[in-house]
Amino acid sequence: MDKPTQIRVALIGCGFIADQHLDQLRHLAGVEVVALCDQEELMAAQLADRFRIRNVFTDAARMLREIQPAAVHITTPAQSHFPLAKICLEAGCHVYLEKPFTETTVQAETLVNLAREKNLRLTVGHNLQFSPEAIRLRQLVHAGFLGGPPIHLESIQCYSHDEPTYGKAVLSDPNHWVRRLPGSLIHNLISHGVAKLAEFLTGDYPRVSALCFSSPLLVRRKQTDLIDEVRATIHDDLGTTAFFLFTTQLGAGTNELRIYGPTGNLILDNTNRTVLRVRASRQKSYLRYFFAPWGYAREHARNSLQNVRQFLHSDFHMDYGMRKLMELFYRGIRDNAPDPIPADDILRTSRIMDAIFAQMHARNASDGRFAMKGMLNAAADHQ
Amino acid sequence: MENGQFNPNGSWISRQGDPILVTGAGGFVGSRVVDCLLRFGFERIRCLVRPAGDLNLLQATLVQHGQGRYEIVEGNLLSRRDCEKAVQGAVIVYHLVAGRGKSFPACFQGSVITTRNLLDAVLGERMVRRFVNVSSFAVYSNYRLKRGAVWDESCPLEDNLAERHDAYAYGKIKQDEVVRSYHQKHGVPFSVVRPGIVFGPGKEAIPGFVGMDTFGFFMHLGGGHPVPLTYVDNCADAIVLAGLVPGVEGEVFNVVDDALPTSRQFLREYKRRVRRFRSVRIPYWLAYSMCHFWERYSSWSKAQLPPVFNRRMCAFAWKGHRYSNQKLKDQLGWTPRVPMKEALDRYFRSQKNG
Repeated sequence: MDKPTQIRVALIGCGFIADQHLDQLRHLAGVEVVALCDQEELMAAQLADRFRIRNVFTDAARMLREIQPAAVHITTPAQSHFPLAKICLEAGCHVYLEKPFTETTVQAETLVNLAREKNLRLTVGHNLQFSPEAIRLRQLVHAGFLGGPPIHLESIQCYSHDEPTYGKAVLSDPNHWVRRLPGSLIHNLISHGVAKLAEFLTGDYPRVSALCFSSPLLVRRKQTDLIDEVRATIHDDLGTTAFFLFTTQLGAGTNELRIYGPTGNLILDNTNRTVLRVRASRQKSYLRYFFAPWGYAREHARNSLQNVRQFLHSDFHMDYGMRKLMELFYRGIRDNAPDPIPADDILRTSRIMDAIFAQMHARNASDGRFAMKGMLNAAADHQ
Repeated sequence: MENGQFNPNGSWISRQGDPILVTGAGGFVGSRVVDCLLRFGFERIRCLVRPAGDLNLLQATLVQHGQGRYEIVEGNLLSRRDCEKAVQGAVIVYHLVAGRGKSFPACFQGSVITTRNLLDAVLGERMVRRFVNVSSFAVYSNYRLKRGAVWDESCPLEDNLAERHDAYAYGKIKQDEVVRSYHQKHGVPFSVVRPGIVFGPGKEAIPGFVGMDTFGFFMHLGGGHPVPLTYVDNCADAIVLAGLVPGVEGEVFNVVDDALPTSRQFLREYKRRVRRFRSVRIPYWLAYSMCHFWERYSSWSKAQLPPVFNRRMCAFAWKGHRYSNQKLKDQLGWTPRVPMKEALDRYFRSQKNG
């Protein structure tokens, strides 16, 4: 394949996340956004107006035919991800698909196979995995800080219904598109937290046990058709275990990944952009209680300094993760570099989510209490 | 205007029995518009509210009036069908819905797509005698206006939306454009109302024209200049009149009250009557310089910090002007029903009581 100097990019879906995509794309070298598409012409026009893009379409197929972009970013509601990504891949375009990747794993597998067949790049917008702290964590894991493969992982993801453009919109609109996803509200939210686990798990079909229920807030509002609380345990082929917590109830919200290894642990905090290294204390007896906390203080200070240094180098953007992921995606296209997110990780994330949703539908959350009816096994489903 | 009397001069374009639509009727201003219409004696007011939206303000208003003169209709203006249902038979449309927040697409969708859908429904219905578009001061640009100059309806509109970087202003400017284009292409009769800062019980924050506490302490930025306040009931009166008074098609009305307090007076009173806190006075030249620096840094660092503080925004909020409501008085016969002293008193009392 020829190495293009300027990759021609199109974007389908001119809603809320599209702004962030174009904001990052305009700062990426070697990339030119040549067309926008949205079924609502005014939405496409406003984006084109603000980002000075000439070609505006309301029909994706027509845009692909007339513009022939090399890559397409799909930032539409999740229901349309599969059909749109499919026609883009069939048209020979690399695809950057916003999360959640697809509605089902079957769709995800179809897209991955199609991209492989056509030798095209396909990625998903799990940008939290490319934030500065996530990159530091990955480097530490690869450098052997854990002392071996991870033994246990924990991903904590908090969310607030007060978020104005999404949270409040979903709660106030009984016909919101999110409600029609197989996993309803959480389908559009949990993929970030699940993907962080999927990266460090092995095997295609991790076993999943999930407890899903409506928070007291939703019960009070009589919206128990929505699920906004998930507790899931996951177990992979090598015996690594993981716990996933998604909640809307924590006032001091956090987004964390904790990785426990044989000799060291790592705590990634996306909210404060820190990675803490935790080792067994060398002090004995009471000294441990006096000196070990200083180790934590030193870790926090180190993170703070790293963040300041990175900021002073103008390399600490709010959407750093998205920019980095795009950078790696386009490097893959240009230089035939590896995919930023391996297809196996995308599929593993999708399978874990499917398993959670399957168990969610077996719930009973009548008056705020909850009961889980049956534990399904993602692996068993596929056998 | 003789408050509380229906059509004192007998010249309004709508009769008491005509159906009137108020979009955003559950909101801070919308609920007071409904109150004003009920006080004027209108008998068929359709209050459009969001599904599962907070109706506390509207209910508190309606409870003071008899039943049977209004209906509450749930609907989403992003749905054309909901728009058609809402507009059915309406003679006057008061359109108060707006997209808010920092997201440009959200503001655009909430202000422009909704307005376009509503106007399409108005075209289909062909009953509407006036479409009152509630816009905002935010659409103006005082960037080239001298400090202390009068800010009225002749003030230019913002022409550099990229530099201004204000999602709400962007949505509102485009909304105004859509309304004008429907007037030009299809003859939809309209008027535009641009309120300054609407305040009153229920509005929590100290107006941005006074200052802000973004960085953990309160920066007093408004100096000794008047704040373009309008008390919510006075603003609602102006909006209602813009839909009723004949002969004002295509006109724009800024809404500010009389006897505006200066930023310094407002802050002093707030501290005295609501709560004490430390504030640091920032002179305009310093605020302008910092905003300029922020703007340049944002550009240099490829938006590591988004350009939310910039020269145009600084000028808009803190440059300092005098404000006129003469057109409102001359053409609509409006006078502020609640004098500023009493309005501030009500506001501070509600703030104090939480």
